[in-house]
Amino acid sequence: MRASDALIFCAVFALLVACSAQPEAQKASGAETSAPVEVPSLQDFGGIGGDFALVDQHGASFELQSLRGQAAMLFFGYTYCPDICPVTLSKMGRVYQLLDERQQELTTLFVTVDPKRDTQEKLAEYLSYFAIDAIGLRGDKEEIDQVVRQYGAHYSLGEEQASYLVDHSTYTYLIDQQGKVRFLFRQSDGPELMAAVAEQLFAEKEKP
Amino acid sequence: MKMVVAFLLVAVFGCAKEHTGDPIVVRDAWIREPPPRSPAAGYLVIENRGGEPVALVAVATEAAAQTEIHVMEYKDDRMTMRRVEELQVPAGAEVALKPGGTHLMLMELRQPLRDGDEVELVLRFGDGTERRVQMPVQKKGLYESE
Repeated sequence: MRASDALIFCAVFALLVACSAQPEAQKASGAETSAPVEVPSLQDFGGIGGDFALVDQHGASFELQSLRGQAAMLFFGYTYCPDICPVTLSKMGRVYQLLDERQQELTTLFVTVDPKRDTQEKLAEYLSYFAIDAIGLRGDKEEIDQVVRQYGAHYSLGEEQASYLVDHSTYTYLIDQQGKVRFLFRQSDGPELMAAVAEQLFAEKEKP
Repeated sequence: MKMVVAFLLVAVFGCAKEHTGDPIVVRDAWIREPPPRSPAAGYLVIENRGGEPVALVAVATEAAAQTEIHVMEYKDDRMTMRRVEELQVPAGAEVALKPGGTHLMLMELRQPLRDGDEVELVLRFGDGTERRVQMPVQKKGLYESE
């Protein structure tokens, strides 16, 4: 191959490469995929939380008190929610995986802010879809509002039409074995962080 | 040698042609398998390789009676999901619809959507163009954000 041929070859090759270069893909901005650098410590949220009584997805009455000795993750949502709620529930699945044998010591509570559409049957059907044994809780509007207020949460129903959306706060509350709120996870917190913080509760329990 | 150069030149021009074609590229499209009788969320990336902004103004599919574009806004701890009439994609940029963020909401499903199914969506843009996108239904299990 003569030098001039080689040069043409290289030039054309370079053109080809430049031509086929893909535009820089947007980097995923979600914090879900990054591991925490350090585990934040548990806190004392004296003002919020507390016992309550609602009805679960099998029609049995449920009292938070019954979970004494167990930790829990509680969050508010509704089944007509296509994105956030399924993501949170599947995130909990990963948290349980990370907790391994400890998973028996953590209960997931899903409180619906949309008891009108989320009937007992709908809740049961919805939750059975996910790999975890979440307890779905509902009640009449006043009972739900009471729990929402207790936990410093918010929600608002959209306009009256079959497909209304519900705005709701997205914290997941970590409740300790004495029924006290000890951590507030944000929607962007990943399962590694949630499992690590929950581990602290189990370590606490073991202290003499 | 001249054959090689000729071939490469043709390849380069062929490659160049790709860029003077349709400015809109849609990729990474998928629908999350919804729990029974719940709406489904659809995700994709719209790339605008052209010199003018484009706007996604409508989405439709046989699989659902109503399909909307929803954006998420976080204010303090509160999540607000809001329907928007259009989604702007600036020139030379891309917009990614992904879990936790902007997404397509497929409501009043006409058929159950299960992992492995494929759904065709029609995307309509402000300039009148249409794109048909094949979106696989996937059960993104045990927490994957994308």
